[in-house]
Amino acid sequence: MFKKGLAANFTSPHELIKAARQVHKQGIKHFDVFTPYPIHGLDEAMDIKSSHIPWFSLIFGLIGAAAGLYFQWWTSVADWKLNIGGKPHFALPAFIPVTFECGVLFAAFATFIALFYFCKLPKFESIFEKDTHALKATDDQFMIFIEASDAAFNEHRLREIFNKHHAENIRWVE
Amino acid sequence: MNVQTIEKIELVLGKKDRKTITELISKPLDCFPSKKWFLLFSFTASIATLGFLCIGWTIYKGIGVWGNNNPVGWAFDITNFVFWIGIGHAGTLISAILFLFRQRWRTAINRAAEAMTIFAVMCAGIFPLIHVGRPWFAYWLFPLPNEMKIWVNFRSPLLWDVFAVSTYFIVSFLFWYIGLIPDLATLRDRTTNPIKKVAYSILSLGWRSSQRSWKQYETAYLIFAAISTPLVLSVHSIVSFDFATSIIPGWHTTIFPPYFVAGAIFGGFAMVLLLLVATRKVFQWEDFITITHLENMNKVLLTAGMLVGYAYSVEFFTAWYSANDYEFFAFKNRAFGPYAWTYWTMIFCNVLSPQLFWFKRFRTSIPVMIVVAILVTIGMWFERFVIIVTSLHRDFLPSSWGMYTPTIFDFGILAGSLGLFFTLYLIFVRLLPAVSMSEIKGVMPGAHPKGEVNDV
Repeated sequence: MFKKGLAANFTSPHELIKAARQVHKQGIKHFDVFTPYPIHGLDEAMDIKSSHIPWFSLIFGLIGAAAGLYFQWWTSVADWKLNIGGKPHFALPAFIPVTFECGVLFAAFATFIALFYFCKLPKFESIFEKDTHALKATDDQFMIFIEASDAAFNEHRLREIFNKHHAENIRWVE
Repeated sequence: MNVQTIEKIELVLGKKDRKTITELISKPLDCFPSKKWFLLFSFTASIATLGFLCIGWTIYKGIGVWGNNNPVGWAFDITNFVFWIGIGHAGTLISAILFLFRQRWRTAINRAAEAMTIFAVMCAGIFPLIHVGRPWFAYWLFPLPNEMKIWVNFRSPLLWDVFAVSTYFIVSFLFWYIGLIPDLATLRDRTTNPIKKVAYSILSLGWRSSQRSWKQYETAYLIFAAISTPLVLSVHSIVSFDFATSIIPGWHTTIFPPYFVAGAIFGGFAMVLLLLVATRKVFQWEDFITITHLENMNKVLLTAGMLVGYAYSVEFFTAWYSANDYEFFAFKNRAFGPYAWTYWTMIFCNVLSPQLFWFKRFRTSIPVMIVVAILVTIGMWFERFVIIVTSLHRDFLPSSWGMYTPTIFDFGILAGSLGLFFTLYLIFVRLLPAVSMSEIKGVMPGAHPKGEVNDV
């Protein structure tokens, strides 16, 4: 995903958000912020769009429910009719529970798969693997990474932003 | 904007920084298990083995080795099934419903509770499987194409159960796994052991905790919470349909779905409480599974206890008010018949014992909550026993009345399921972080520059 770029660590979420906002204002598109927990307000500072996952959940949930209902109709009415206690072959009220469960099951699988699709996971190699400072971003520190190939990349200006917000270990990662 | 904050609760005590949290939570995974752990583990694993021996004997001889006989065809097996499914529901309540209600104190307890859900559903799944008598034909429960050309009966509540429980297990597992991914990445990044590194790398799927991923992650998590909530309510409602759609007096009641759901939450919370009181003590996690957390759980226990108490009384009232002799007899027989002692055990454990929690002194006392949680767990098991056995043993015709006596194999399999449950939990706390590190870090003071708007 990421190739080569400039990274800086932060210890305070306050400084991090300010720096992220500044970086975004520079017009940089290919950058990301790494945090041990999701910080409220950071996505606005970085201008990240809402996720599309809910659409997948909804559509697949509906498909699942429809498929469940259709399958019950097909097995009980079309493929092999069985008279059980004189109950109607197409007993809609009795089909609701299984229809609902199928909808939930499909929605859950769709959400699960969509999450990894949008996060571009699983992915077992990363430029951050060897960088000891980057590993702190899953523990206690925050990191901003800006890809060098970005059109608005200006090392001097970025270092200025990082220094202004008390960043630590400003370095190149590749 | 005018934001009103209601009494701010410190969810993490003792002015900790994020690094200390990571270290405290991953400490049990880094060190070799203590002697006490091995002692406890061998004890629970032995009981589980005993249960499996009883199951093996049951499969070899047939379910005639149990006490089940006409007219009581469902007894310990289905009691245990409903008991375990109910315990599982507290985990989903904590992870999904409390999440939707923005109860941030859930962060410290949701991981362990969700793990408990998965183990409880595993234990529950054993019982219908062995009760079918020939478990090697258990796949007949699923609508698979077969040489007999017939399909499963979708009009039967027992089949709804198959779908509900298997969906519940899969969704709970996925939800739990999604919650684990950021923590697995943390473990991957801090471990120096090459074998652990490979294992955590594979399990964390290359998660790098980037904000762009967090955005997707939080959305997916919210959706999982939103679909798990109706799912958990549906599962125990469907379990109650097994009884409510039949015509047996004492079973054929419309109150069953909400009554079963309330009972499930009640019994499950008692079990979560027991596990967490022990876990926080052993791993010294008192600073983030605080007394406030336990007190909140006791409040839920009190509420749920009152709900089941209400259901017991409404059931009785309706039986009398319906003017149906059989229905009213079933309830009189529960309270004053040969199994009256089980009924009054249930009333004592479920309705009376949680009343202690009206007092803050008892809500915040560890010994009191342990005793009450054990009583509630026993009481909830007896509730299912009362519903199942007392309704079946005397229904319409006195000529077909009978008594039920469990055999040693019934008790063996019940004990075995408890052993299996605690064995799995003991393995879990040693292999995976039992408290969510990323979520705890998010509820620490000063974690969010913009402040917590919905901070309760």
